[in-house]
Formats: sequence, structure tokens, C-alpha cells
Amino acid sequence: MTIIESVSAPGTLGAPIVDTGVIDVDIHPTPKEGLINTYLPKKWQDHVREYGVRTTNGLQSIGEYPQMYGGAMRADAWPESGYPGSDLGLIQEQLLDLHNVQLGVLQCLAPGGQTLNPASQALNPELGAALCTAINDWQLEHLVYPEPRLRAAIPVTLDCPEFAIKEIKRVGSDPGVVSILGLSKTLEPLGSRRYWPLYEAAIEAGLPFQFHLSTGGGHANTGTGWTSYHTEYHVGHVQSFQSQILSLILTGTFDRFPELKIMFVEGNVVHFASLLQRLEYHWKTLRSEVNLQRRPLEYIQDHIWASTQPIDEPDDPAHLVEMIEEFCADNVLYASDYPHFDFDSPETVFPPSFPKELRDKILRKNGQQFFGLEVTES
Amino acid sequence: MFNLACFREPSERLGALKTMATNVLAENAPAVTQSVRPAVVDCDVHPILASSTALLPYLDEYWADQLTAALSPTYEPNYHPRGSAIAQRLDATLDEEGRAATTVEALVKDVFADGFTDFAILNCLYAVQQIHQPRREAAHARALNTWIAREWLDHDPRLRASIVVPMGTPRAAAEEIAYWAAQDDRFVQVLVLGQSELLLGREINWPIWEAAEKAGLPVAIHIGGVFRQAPTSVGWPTTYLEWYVGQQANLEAQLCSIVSEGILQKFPATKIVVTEVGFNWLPPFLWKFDKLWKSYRPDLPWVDRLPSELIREHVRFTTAPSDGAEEPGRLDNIVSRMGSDQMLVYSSDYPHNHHSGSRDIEAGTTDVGLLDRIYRHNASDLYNLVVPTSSGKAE
Repeated sequence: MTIIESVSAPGTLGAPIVDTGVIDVDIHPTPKEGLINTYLPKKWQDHVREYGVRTTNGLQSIGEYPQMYGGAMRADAWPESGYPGSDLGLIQEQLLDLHNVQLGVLQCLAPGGQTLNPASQALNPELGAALCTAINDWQLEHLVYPEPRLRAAIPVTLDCPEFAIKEIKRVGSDPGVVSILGLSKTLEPLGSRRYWPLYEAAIEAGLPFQFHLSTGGGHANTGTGWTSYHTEYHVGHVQSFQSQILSLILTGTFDRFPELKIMFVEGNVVHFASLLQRLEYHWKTLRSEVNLQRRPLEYIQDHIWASTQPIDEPDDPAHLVEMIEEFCADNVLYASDYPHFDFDSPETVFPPSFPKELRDKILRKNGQQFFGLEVTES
Repeated sequence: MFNLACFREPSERLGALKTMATNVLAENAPAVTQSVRPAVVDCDVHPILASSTALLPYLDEYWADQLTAALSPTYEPNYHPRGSAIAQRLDATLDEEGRAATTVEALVKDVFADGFTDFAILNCLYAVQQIHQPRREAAHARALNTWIAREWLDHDPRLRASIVVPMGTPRAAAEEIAYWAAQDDRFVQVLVLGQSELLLGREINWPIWEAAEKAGLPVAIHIGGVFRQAPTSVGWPTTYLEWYVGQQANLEAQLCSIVSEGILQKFPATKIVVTEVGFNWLPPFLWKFDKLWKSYRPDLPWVDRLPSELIREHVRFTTAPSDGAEEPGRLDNIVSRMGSDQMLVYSSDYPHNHHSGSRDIEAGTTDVGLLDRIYRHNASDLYNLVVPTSSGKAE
């Protein structure tokens, strides 16, 4: 199979139109088995057949914490054949049509199958780049162009900025692409200068980043060693996001790139409020070390977004509203995580007492702003 | 080499353990007679070992020779960089080198200057845990604890201390706990660091929990680390501020490990004091943990209650640094989100310097009863420290 015609013909797709519907920033598509291979040059097809895709664990084809139940998929999301997320008809029926999703952003973590070890984490950067290219061409051809309510976040080889920038330049201007897909586990914290050329390229392409929860990256999955149980592993994801947000602020990355926009996906919301209050407090004592241009809390509004799924569930729902406001009510976006088992429906995710105005912001308005869409009043 | 006569009589450790086991719920706090009241306890002050040569009198001949031959490397931790604003308060009493908390006289003068504090718990952060040679780590931990007993505790009856343990060898750590528990009840706690080599709940670390429970001692998990690996799950932070603030993530990992591995079922009298890592972060962590525990019940069948219930029952947090809890209403807010007024214990974190003073948290609440719990009762549930009501101290 060749590189897709539609990719080389940008402009054939209009901007997403969102008026009364929902913006869902986290949908997981899976290519049908063997399909990505057909998008790879023969050299890499052979390589994968012989050596597989080596990442930072020593397993042939799974991640270090395999999902506990059924691939963490919704039981009703399995098509007649293949994995959940591989059948466009089912995505339309169960998500886009049913919940009036007018913009759904694809977070393709494949081809890791049941693992979250995606293409961009291949230790061999040439292979990682070839896999990312294959995925991006596949998702545009098979999902975005046939169904324009879906748009792509493009995976790139984050830890090889050279190839990541190439991929952004190659495909980033396609109207089917709305963001760059990064992962929460990286070799170095995201404020590292290693990643700065990548941020420059993203800004040039006019694209924000979405950093989705992941495994891998090259370190133990906590800063104090590997977890034993799946529950710990899953709770621990927010800790990685905490490390990332501190790094981005304190290295002055946002001062250097005033247009950089970063969304954390599947990393919860309200813990960021506590963390940044803590940061603000200690920055007052230790500010001479970091020379920031603004107070730490002031970086949120312009630079940091967080998606809701899995929704924080305090015993008292009032605490959820309070803490979303403490974080920044303009910077929280709805995510469904379809087709995973912890799917949040836009109709039922918020507690009954949740203010309507805030709900509208999270379901629609904040996303319109984040993706730079025309704002149409509902 | 020790003069054992100067140690106190072995305390009734078994009794203390029983008391602890029956008083896990704070409602059952030990009965306070008319003549005593729960003491105001400053749960975190830091004596500083300025030079490893001070340990020479407390090391045996072999380890003393080893230290001297290596030109006496001093494992001073950089958890509070010496020249930075966090290192010491501007009003601290200083030694000749301009350093605070290096002598018992200076520390006692400052810590009890408020006429309010009845007892202070010494958490010495001298970094024996960063010594890679396990036998040396254990020998230096023993020497350090002896130094604390001889040169600090012996000099002021208001001082108590945590037992520094060689975290690299949990069996040796357990021996260190048992050693002091058998002979000196001024050691009221065990001290471990927030970043360990293997998560604290891992079975390899169970000897520490077992020994602490047997001795009836709470375990303080203090900011600091063994630095065997990157201190975050995404590599090495660039700045100190990033490390310091970010350690809350490792405490989340530790509490999650301790609950998930079943420590609180296996050693039900366990008490944990998260020390100098803030507390504002706890509620979102509890909500996340509860939610996933519900999703993954068969993963942890021995965790028979909500993680938040277990943590509320077994874990306490020191109040300094406050992370901003002194803003009007903030402390009340945080306590409401925590779902318990029994989890905070007062600390000054002397001599470390933070943006607000340790008692400024009073501005964050309108609840006098909460402050009474923070200053007195919550610590009393942990350490059973009381003072005579006739002492003339302010109530």
C-alpha cells in the first residue's frame, strides 16, 4: 500500500464544526490486525517480523502491566471481528451518534495491541518514526476522511525530536490533524531542553500537544521503584503527570514558548490544583533558583489543559466543582476514553449538582478554544 | 563501648503496643487524668550533624578506622541546600560557622522559645541511607542514633527522637528498631525516607513494619531519598524546587504501596506519619485510589475496606510546610476534603525556613477544636506524651 492520496491533498477537509454537540478529546482507535504493516516500507515489515518492536521492557509483545480484564475494553465494544476501536461503524453508533460527539480526537496508542507501549516508544528511532508515519496515514485514510467528526492526534517519536519534527512537517498541516500525541512517560521530564525543538516545530505548525497516560519511557513507574499490583500501577499514573507539569513550569519552557499549549489526557484534574498550590507556596521561598517570568499558577490559563476522564469522584460533589475552579475552569475538557471500560458518558459523568455553565464549558466551549474552532453559540 | 548505665530502664513496650492497638481509633485516646494533659508536640525538628567525625566516638574501631582513612566523608543530604532560603530561618540561633541546629543548646533555645511547645521530636536527616555499602550504612545508623541519644536527648528532657534505620537492609533496620526500643523510650518513632529503593510496602521491607509494630512505634516517612534511581517516573528533575515539591508524588506511591501490599492488615497497629511533605495533596489521591480499588477489587482481595478509610485510620501528616493552608478558610477546606480532623499533627520543621511560620496555619481555620487536635490530641494518640496541668504552660 502507498502513502495515502488524501494526506497529500490537504484542504479537502473543512474545519470541525461544533455547535450543540460535544468535544471528546480521548478516543482510542485500533488498526485491524496486520493493517499497519501494509503502511510500512518493506524493510521495516521485515524488521518487525524478525525482531518485533523492542521497547523498554523485555517482553515480546505486551507491556509490563497487562490489563486485568478483557484488555480494559467495554464488553459491548467488541466488533464481530478484531479489537474494540477497529470498527468505524461501531465508533459512530456507540459514541458519535449516541452522544452527539461533533469532534472526537483520536489517541492511537496502537500498534501495541493490549499494551500501552505504542509505536513512538520503539527503542529504534528509525522504526519508531516509520510506525508513527504508518499510523498517521492509516488513521487519516480509514477514520478521519471517511468520518470528519473524528480528527487525529498524531503520534511522533518524542524521544527522537529529529524524526518527530519531520513527521510534524510531513503531516501536521493536514486539516485532519488537530494535535500532536505525546505520552506521559518520557525519558526526561518534559521541560528538558531535549524536547524544545519539538515545541518550536509544534508552534510553527499551529498544533497543541496532548500527552496521554502511558507506560514505558525508560524509568521505574514511580520515582521510588516499580509497583507490584495493577491498582497501584493505575493510581500511579497521576504521579507522572505531576512530575511533568512541575518540569514544564520550572524549567521556564512556557517562558521560552509563550504559544505552547499542552493538554494532559487521562491524568485526572483536581490533583493538579493541590500540586500547583504547593508549588506556588514553595516558589515564594525558592524563586531565586528558577527565575520565572510569572507566578507558577499563572501558567495554567495559557498553557495547561486537563481532560476529565476518569472523572474525580470526591464523596462530596461540591469538592469537584471547587477544585476544578481552583485549577482553572476554562482549561478542563471532556474525554470519554471510548472504548475502554472506564468510559465516561457526557450525559452521566457529572454529578447532578454540577453547574450547567461549567458543564457546557467542559463539554464544548473549552475545547472550541483549545482547538481554535469557530465559536458558535448553542 | 557504650555506658549502658546511662540508658533508661526498658520501657513497657508490650504495654505500649497494646495501647496502640486498642487506640488506633482516636476516639479511644488514652484517658487523661486530671493531673496531666496531652502535650503540645512539635513532630518534626532537625538536628544537624555537621561533620561525620562527630560519629567517631560512637563507631567501633573498624568503622572508625574506615571513616578516618576515607578522609571522613560527610553524608550531608542536599534535601535543603545549605545556602538556599529553605535551609534555615533568619532568626535561628547560629553556631560559629553560621549554621542552625548543629548544637542541642541552639536547637532547644529556638524550638521551645514560644513557651508553647512541650516536646519536640528529632528527625535527623544525616544521609546514612545514601551510603551504598550495606554494612557501613548499618554501622553509621547505629552510631548516629547513639550520637542523638548522647549528645541531644541526654541534654534536655523535652526532646524525643526517631530511630534512623539502614533502609538498604530491612533486616538490619529491624534490628536497629528493636535495639533502641529495648532500652530507650525517648526514641518514639522510626524514620524512613519518602524515596526508597523498593516501595515501602514490598515484602522485602516488611521486617521494618514488623519491628515498628512490635515496638509500638509509629513510622515517619520524611522527605528525602536513597537516590538509587531517578526520583520521578520520568527521569531527573532539572531544579531543586521541582524535586522538593515533586516528592509528594513519591509519598502517594508509598501510601499506595503500603495499602495495596496489605501492610495495614498484616501489621494492624501500624501508624504512619508523613512528615514534611505537605497534606493538601491527600484528598485527590484518596479519591483516585478509592475509585480504582472499586474497579479492581480482585486485584487486592485482602484490602477489605476503602483505601481512604484505611489511610484515615493509620496515617497522619505533619503541618509544616503548610503549602499555603494558612490562607483564610483553606485549612478548613482541606480538612473537610480529607474527611477527618484527626490526621494532622503539628510541626515546625525547625530549622527549615518556609514562606509562613509554623503556627500561621491558625489563620486557615475558624475551628478552635481543630487546632487543639492538631497541637495536642492527634500527636497524643501517636506518642502518648503528656505534661502536668500544673506546669504553668498555656492550655
